[in-house]
Amino acid sequence: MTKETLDEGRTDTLLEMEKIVAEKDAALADIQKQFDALKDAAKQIAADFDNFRKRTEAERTKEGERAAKNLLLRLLPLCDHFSLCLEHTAHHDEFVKAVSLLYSQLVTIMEDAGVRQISALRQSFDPRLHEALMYVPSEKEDNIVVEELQKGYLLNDIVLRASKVKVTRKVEG
Amino acid sequence: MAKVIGIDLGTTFSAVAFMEGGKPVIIPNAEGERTTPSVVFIKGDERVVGRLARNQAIVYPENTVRSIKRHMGEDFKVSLDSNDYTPQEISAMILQKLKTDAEAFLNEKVTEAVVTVPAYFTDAQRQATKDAGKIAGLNVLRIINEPTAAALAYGLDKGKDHTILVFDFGGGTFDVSVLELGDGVFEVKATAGNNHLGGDDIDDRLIDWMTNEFKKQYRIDLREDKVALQRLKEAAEKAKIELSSKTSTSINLPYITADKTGPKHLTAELTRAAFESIVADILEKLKDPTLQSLKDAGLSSNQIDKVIFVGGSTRIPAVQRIVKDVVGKEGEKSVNPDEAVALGAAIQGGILKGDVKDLLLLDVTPLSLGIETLGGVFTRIIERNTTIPTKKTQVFSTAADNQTAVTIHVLQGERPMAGDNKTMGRFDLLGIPPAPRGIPQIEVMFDIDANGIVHVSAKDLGTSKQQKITITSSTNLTEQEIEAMRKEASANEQEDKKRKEDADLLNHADTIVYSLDKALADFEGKVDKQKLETLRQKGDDLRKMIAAKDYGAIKTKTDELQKLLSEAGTELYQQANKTEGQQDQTKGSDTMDAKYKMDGA
Repeated sequence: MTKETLDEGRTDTLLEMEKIVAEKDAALADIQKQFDALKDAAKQIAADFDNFRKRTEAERTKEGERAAKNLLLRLLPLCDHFSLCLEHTAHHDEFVKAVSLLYSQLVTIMEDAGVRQISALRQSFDPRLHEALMYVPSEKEDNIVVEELQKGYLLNDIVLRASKVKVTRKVEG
Repeated sequence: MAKVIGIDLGTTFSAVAFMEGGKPVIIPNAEGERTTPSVVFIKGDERVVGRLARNQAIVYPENTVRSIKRHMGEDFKVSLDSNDYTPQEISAMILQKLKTDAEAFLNEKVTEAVVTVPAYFTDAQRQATKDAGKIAGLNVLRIINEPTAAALAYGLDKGKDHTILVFDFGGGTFDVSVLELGDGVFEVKATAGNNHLGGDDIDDRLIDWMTNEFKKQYRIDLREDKVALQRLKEAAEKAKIELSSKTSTSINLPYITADKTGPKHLTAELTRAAFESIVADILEKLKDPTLQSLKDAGLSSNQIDKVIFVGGSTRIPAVQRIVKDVVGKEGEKSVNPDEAVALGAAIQGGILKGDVKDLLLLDVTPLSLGIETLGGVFTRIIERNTTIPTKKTQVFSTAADNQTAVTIHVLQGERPMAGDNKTMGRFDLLGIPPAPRGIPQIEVMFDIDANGIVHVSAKDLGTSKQQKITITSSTNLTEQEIEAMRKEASANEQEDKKRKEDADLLNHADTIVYSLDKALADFEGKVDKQKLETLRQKGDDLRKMIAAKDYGAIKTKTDELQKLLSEAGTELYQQANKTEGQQDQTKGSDTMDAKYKMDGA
C-alpha cells in the first residue's frame, strides 16, 4: 500500500466517522427536544395536579362547613324548645312530656342524617359494633351481650360510637 | 411503579402513608380511621388487630397484647391462647393489617415499606423490626428514626444545614431527639425521654380530679362504677382537647350516679390554669429529658434552629410553653402531630424509589398576582401559593362609554387595594371600538411558566386585538421581602377591608348613576314628570357625594335611588302594558347588570 492510498483511506474513514457523529448529534438533539417537551408536559401536569389538590382541599373544607350548617339549622329549633322547656319547669308532668318530645325530635333529626342505633342487648358480642367494658362468667352462654351500658350508633355503615356493653364469658361448670 | 408505604409502628397507635403526586397522604384503615391501635387479639385461628382487638380486650385479656413495641429486640415471648409469640411476630400482625388496609385503599399489591423506630433503638431492635416486616410479607427498604421521619414531614431536609429538636409526646411515650442536618443527611446527636409518660397519664389525672371532687361533694366513689368511669374517661379526653383551644371548659355528666337521696349530676368548670396545676407534675417531667438531650448533644439552647412537635399531647398549650421555656423557641406545628412520622416515612420511601420530584421541582407563586380595576381595586387573577406552571384568564370590560383604550396594570401582593401592592408592569390595549361601558369584552390572561416568568396578555374579543407583556422580575423579591409583604397584609387587614368596601361602594354608586342617566332618556314622557325630576335631583346629589367621597351618605342615597329607579321601571312597564301594540322596549336593565371593572386608560 502506498502512502497516498493510506491517506485516502484515512480520510474516508474520517469522513465516515464525521458523518456518523453528525447523525448521532442530530438524533441526540431530536431526543433532547422530545425530552424537553415531555419534561415541560410533565411539569404542567404535576402543577395542574397540585393545584387541583389544593382546590379540592379548599372545596372539601367548604363542603364540610355546608354540611355542618345544614345539620345545625335543624338543631336550632331544638335549642329553642329546650329553652322554652326550662322556662316552664313548674309543672312536672308537662315538663317530662316536653323533654320526651324533644328527645324524639332529636332522634328524628339524627335518623334523617343517617344515624342509627346499634342493637346490642341479647345479641352476640360483635367487636365491630360493641366494646366490652366488663364481662360476667356464665355456665350457659358465651359471648352474649347481657347489659348495654352506653348506646352505640352507626352513621350509615360507619361506627360512630361502639355500644359499651357487658358480655358473658363461658366458664366450664 | 409499585407504591412504597411509610409505616409509623407506634407503641399505642400505628399509621401508614404513601406518596401521591409528590405529597405524602395518610391511608385510612378499614374502620375508616387514620390511626390504628397497636393491639392484637389472637384466639384459635382468629387474629384481630386494631380497634376490634381493643374492643374485646377486657373480656379476653389472655388473648390480647398491647404495647408490644416495648419488648422489641428482647428475648421475650408473649403467651396468647396457649401459643408463644415473639415481639416480631406480634408486630408483624400489626404491619400485616396496615399492609392489607393500604392494599384495599390503593387497590394494588404493596410489597415495599419504610418503617420507623425510635432513635434510641439498638441494632437488635432495628433488626427485629425489619424481621417483623419480613414476616408480614413486606420488603423493608429502610428502617428510619422517628424524629428523622418527622423532620422529613416538615421538609427540613432541604435548605441549609441546621440543628433540630424533635419533641415527641404521644399517648404513652415521651422522646426528645436532637438532630443535625448536614449534606442533606440527618444525624441523631442525642436522645432522651420517658418510656412510660404520655397523654394517657394526663387523662388519668383528670379522672382522679373529677372523682375526688365528686367524692368531696357526695361521698360517692365513682371509680367503683364502670359505667360512670367510662363516661368520665370520655369527658376527661374531651376536656383536655377543649382546653387546647379554649381557656375554660364545662364538664357536664347528668345522672352520673344515684343514691338514696336521688340522682346525682357531675358538673364542673375547669379552667386551663386549673388543668395545668392538676397535671403540673407530669408537665414537670418533660423538662429534664429536654435539657438532658441538649446537654448530651453538647449544645446550648440557642444553637437549636428549629423545634418540631410530634405526638397528640403536644397540642396542649402548656406542653408547648414548657418547650419554649426550655429551648427558647416556638415549636413548629403545621403538620398533624399524630401523622408526621408516617408521612415522613412515606417521603423517605419516595426518595428511595427515586421519585422524579427533583427533576420536576415545582414552585409556587409566593404572592398573588392580578390587575388594577375600577376604583383602584386589586383584582386577583392568580392566588398566592398556586403551583406553577399555571394559566388563568378572566374577562373584563370598560369603565366608561366609548372608551377606546384600557391600561393593564399588573401587580403582585396581598393587599386588596392596588396602590398598596407592588407594580410588576403596565401596558395599554388600544383600538377598542367605541361602545357603551360594560359592553366590550377584554380577556386578560396570566400565564406563569415553569421558570416563574409571567406573561400577561389582554385581548379585545371583539376585534381580536392583543397586547402582552413578559415580566421576568417576579422572582426578584427576597424571601424577607415576600414575608414582609404578607405580614403587612395581615397587619392592615381590617383597615384594608374597609377601604375595599368603600371602593366597592363607590363603584356601585357610580353604576347606579350611570344607569340612571340611561334610564332617564327612556323614561321621558312615559313616567310621571315629577318622579323624573326627583330622580334627576337625587342623581345629582349622589354624583356630588361620589365626588366628595362621602361614603356614609353614598350608601343610603344609592339604596334610595335604586329603589326609585326600580319603581319608575315598574311604572314604565305598566304604561307599556296599557298601550299594548306600541313598541316599547327598554334596555335599562341590561345596562344595570353589566359588569365593568377595567380602569380607564
